[in-house]
Amino acid sequence: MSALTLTGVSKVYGKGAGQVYALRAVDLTVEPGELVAVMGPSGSGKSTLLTIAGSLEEPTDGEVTVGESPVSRLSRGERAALRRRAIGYVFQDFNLLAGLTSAENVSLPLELDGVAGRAARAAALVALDRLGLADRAGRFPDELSGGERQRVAIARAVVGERRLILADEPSGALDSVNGEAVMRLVRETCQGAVAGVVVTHDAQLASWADRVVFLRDGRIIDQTTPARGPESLLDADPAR
Amino acid sequence: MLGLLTLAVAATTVGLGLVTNLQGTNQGLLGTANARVEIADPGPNGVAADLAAARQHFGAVEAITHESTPVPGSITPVDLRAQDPHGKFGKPMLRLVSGRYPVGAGQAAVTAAVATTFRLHIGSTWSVNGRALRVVGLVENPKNLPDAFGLVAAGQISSPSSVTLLFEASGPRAGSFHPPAGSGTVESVMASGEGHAERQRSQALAVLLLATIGLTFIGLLSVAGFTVMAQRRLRALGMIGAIGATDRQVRRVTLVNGAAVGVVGAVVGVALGLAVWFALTPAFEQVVGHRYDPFALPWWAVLAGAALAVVTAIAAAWWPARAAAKLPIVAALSGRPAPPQPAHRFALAGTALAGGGFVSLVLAHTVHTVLIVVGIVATTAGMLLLAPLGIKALAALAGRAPVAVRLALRDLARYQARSGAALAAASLAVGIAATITVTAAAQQAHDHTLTGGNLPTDQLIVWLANPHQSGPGLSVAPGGAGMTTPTVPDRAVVASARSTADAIARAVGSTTVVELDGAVDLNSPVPAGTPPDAAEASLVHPFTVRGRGQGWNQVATPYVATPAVLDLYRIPAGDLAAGSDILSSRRDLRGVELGTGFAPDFRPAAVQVSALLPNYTSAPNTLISPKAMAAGGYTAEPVGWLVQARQPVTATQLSDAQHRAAAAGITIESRTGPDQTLQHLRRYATLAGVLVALGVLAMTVGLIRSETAGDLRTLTATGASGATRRTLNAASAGALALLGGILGTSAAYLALIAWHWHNISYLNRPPYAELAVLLLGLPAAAAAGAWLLGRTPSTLGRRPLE
Amino acid sequence: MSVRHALLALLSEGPKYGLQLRDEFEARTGEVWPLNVGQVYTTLQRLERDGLIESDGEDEVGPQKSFRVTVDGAAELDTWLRTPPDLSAPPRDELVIKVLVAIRVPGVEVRDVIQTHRRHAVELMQEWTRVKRDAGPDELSLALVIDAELFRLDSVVRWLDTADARLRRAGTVPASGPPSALPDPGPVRAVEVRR
Repeated sequence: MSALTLTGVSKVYGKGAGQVYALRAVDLTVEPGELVAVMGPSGSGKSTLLTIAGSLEEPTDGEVTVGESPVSRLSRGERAALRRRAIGYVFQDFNLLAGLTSAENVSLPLELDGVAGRAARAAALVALDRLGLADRAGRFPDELSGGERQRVAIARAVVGERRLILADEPSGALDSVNGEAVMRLVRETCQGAVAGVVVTHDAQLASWADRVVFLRDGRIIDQTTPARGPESLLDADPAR
Repeated sequence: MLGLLTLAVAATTVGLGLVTNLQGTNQGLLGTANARVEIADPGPNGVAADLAAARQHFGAVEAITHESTPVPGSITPVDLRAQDPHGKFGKPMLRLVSGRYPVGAGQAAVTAAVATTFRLHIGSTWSVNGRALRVVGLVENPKNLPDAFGLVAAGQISSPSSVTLLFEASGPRAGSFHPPAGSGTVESVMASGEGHAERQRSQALAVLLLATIGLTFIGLLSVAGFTVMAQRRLRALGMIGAIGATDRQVRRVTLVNGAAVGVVGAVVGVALGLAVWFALTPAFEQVVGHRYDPFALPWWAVLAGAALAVVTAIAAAWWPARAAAKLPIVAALSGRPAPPQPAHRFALAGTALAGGGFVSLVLAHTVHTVLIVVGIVATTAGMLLLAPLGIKALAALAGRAPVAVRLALRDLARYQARSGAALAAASLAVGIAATITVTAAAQQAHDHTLTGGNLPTDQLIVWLANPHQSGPGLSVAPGGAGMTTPTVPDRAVVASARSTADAIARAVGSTTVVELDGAVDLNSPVPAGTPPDAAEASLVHPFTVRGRGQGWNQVATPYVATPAVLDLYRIPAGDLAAGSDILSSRRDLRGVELGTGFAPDFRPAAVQVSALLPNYTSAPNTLISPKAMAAGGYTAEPVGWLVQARQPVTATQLSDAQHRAAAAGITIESRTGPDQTLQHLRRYATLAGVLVALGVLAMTVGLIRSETAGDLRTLTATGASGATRRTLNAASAGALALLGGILGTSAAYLALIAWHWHNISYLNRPPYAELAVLLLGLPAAAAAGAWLLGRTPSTLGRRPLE
Repeated sequence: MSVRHALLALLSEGPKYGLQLRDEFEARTGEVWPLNVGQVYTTLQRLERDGLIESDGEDEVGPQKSFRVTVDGAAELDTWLRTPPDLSAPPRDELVIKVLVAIRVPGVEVRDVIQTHRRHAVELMQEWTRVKRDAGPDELSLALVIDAELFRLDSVVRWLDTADARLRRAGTVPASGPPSALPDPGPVRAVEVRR
């Protein structure tokens, strides 16, 4: 069973002459344990792909399946439940709720799902601790550095039993060392049953993925073949 | 923002109009004359004699003759008056609503109230004191809408019960008029100067108060709106600063904006307010009880409000601009709110201001204008400074709440500048409503103590006998030696009356029927010829007339202190002291004696004063204790039943009750006098306050929530359902409304306690229903409205434009 | 190529033997620059001839001979560290030439050519990133070397992206439309738009 399957997904904004195709018949399958990067320039439809995969938007055409759940056949409430239980979102910005502490932000999906406050907090602390943020649990987002904020966001995306992490330029606002740290975390999270999709225009971020999918004008035009392994590098001429 | 300001100006305009026209003139009684003499029992030929005598004194005189018309089932008669619709002085007192004025014999016109009471309509026949009158028109007294009467053509009343003379004369001269012998006695004299200055003063004061509060309201809303706007614009302002604009330029940008918003808000607000004012004039006329000229507005105050809207908008724009200019550009660019000021500092200033305002109002003695304005502004400002403390308390409580509620409350606390201003505005709206409501209630209490109103509007008394003075409906049975024995009515008669009382209670939606018992001495034989009701125990003031011996002035007839009556007024049984004979709310019973009406066996009674008993004259305000009952050997006999309704009894219900009573051969007594006006005012003020507060809340919650559109997106992505997002909205609105209700009502009460400091008892009867609406209904409505209107943005996936 | 300066740098830490120098060189550069022993000894001889290092007396070159840096050698190393490398572009960048040619060759879809190179560059980056991911936190030199490689490849990808956008704006390439078959699409799941 795939973690995420998009079949013939199209998305059209507007009507009539003003119609804009954001996505055209996109097929994409992400297996458990796999991290897929979707690369493309601005306006290529990569953010739309992510919001549709995360059931925040409905496709104009096509099927989205998260785990075993066919998203188009779910009610609004069931979709919200899917987002609470199965999907973790990491945005570049607007990530954390300013009114909640780090721990509360992380436990948010669990609390929304009706998990008791104490249990949710315990799970949040575990997630924060894994990301090295145990001492920041009581802080509010604007008391954290940019890198810390993004790590809290990742903690929230992975808390509980998530199976699909969706990230939109997760390190966009960070410097490259902090950005790398964030991608390293995303990469480490996506193993076992957890899969991830990262959309970015940055090749260095995309290179953390197992597979890079190239998106142009709403279409998938190409993708990388699985890595050949580090040995191959030594055969290449490094000093070209 | 513009909406808030417009709303504030409009609400103030309407409020000013209402307050200005609240007080009627005495034209309803005087017409265009400036003096009025009321002569009772002029006799069949007395009217002409009185008129002739008056004309000799005063020149032109207009006479209006009255005939008292009993209403079946009611102890309150209706006035049938003969008046010329085109009379020299009385013309403004009459207005034709429909049909035509009566001409000649056999025709009559009636007011709407009389038409309801007697079930009349144009074309139907009205039997009055044995003659049949055809109803040809509906009329009203436009200067006194509660005036209920029937109208016949001038000269069509042959045996008047009284006559009113209208003429022009000074008060003292009018008072010196005496009708010729045998042509009745002067019952009352009224001249236009009386009470006029007092009324004008209180009216001017009311306008001033409302203008003060209204202008504060406008100012607050401006500040609230601009604080939110400034927060939203912080980044833009930072940007302008970053590209090299001077602080002055930054300030100018906001100032121009503030001025534009102020001018548009003021103009649109006044226009909207006037539109509402004119549109609602017919409804308002019913509320204030007289027709008025809708153009009679305190234009100076309206214009001052508009001007203030512009000024405060500019000032409110200037202040955040100054703050933004002071803020480091980098902080402005980051868009983070400034850390909130510590709430306790506000609280301290707030307490000090509120205290100062309170003292100032107490010292003002309801007359010193400057102290009053200072007091009101200080009290208002003080309560509003306490707002952050309330928000903080709420946020502290939030820790254990579900996450959506917690988030809403935390946001309120974090963005204190805007939520505080929003809360202030909502509090003020509630405060105004609470003030009007409580004032109206106090005014009612005041009127009752002054005029000794007979009953509250939500009570009826079903009397066993008519007139009710005859109490238990006693009769006498012949005894020996020229003596008679008092006899009580047949049990079946009492039971039938009781069942009528129950039926009436059901008809007015009440289940509380309390039997009122009189204390009757059935043992002592009475000299023949003594009125039978003399056997009922009463309270008298003894006096001695030189040469004629001892006399007694009857001052009260006590009712038996049954558990049901004590329970009705929530008087604990233990409150009645063991030594007391009489428990009364009246303070004029010192030195009274208790006994039956004919025998000289009155004995001094120990009177205990209880504030819990009612002040109404017909209500059981004086009770006789079991101890006194036993000592006098009295028997408790039913005299009537008090029906406690849940709501004030409507005219329709009353009419229905009277018909039932008339059919059963008994009578009912209901509230007489024109305090329906205040009742309506209370209700309308509460409604208006709730509506304005809801409007303010809707706009401010909208503003606050629009600030956190990013949060909504995150919440949605995290899996929050629509219900969670709605809960967020509802919690914001509900919390603000609850705090606003509490703060507003507290401020109103604080001001009113200070205002009525010297007659604090007027506040003893809080208008519970209206206060409940403000304190509980408003938050519920706000939360429900926010829940329903808290729609999910359609394109959550898209990032909001910056 | 400055194996010469690298050896000078290693020797500036203290006297070292030839074999030791080779191992340390490879360790410091993350073992991505293989160096044979012959190259090491040739370079050492030249350095000694130029008076930048000196050996411990014995004339024969052998594994037991140890070297240390001279005053002149230290000065030379310092000068070299501060001399900017030649950053001017190579006279003929092969990738640039290929793209320029592709524009003029009839029947060749330039954007497909660009995408092929882009995919290749990203695949290389993925491999480097994998090395970096597997490297321990103390392998600083390795990380630095990989970063250099990643940034170089990243600049290639960015140039390709820019070229793509520029060509598109210039109208050489249709703004949208089904992509023609790629030379080596791999397991691509892209399908034609169904209309």
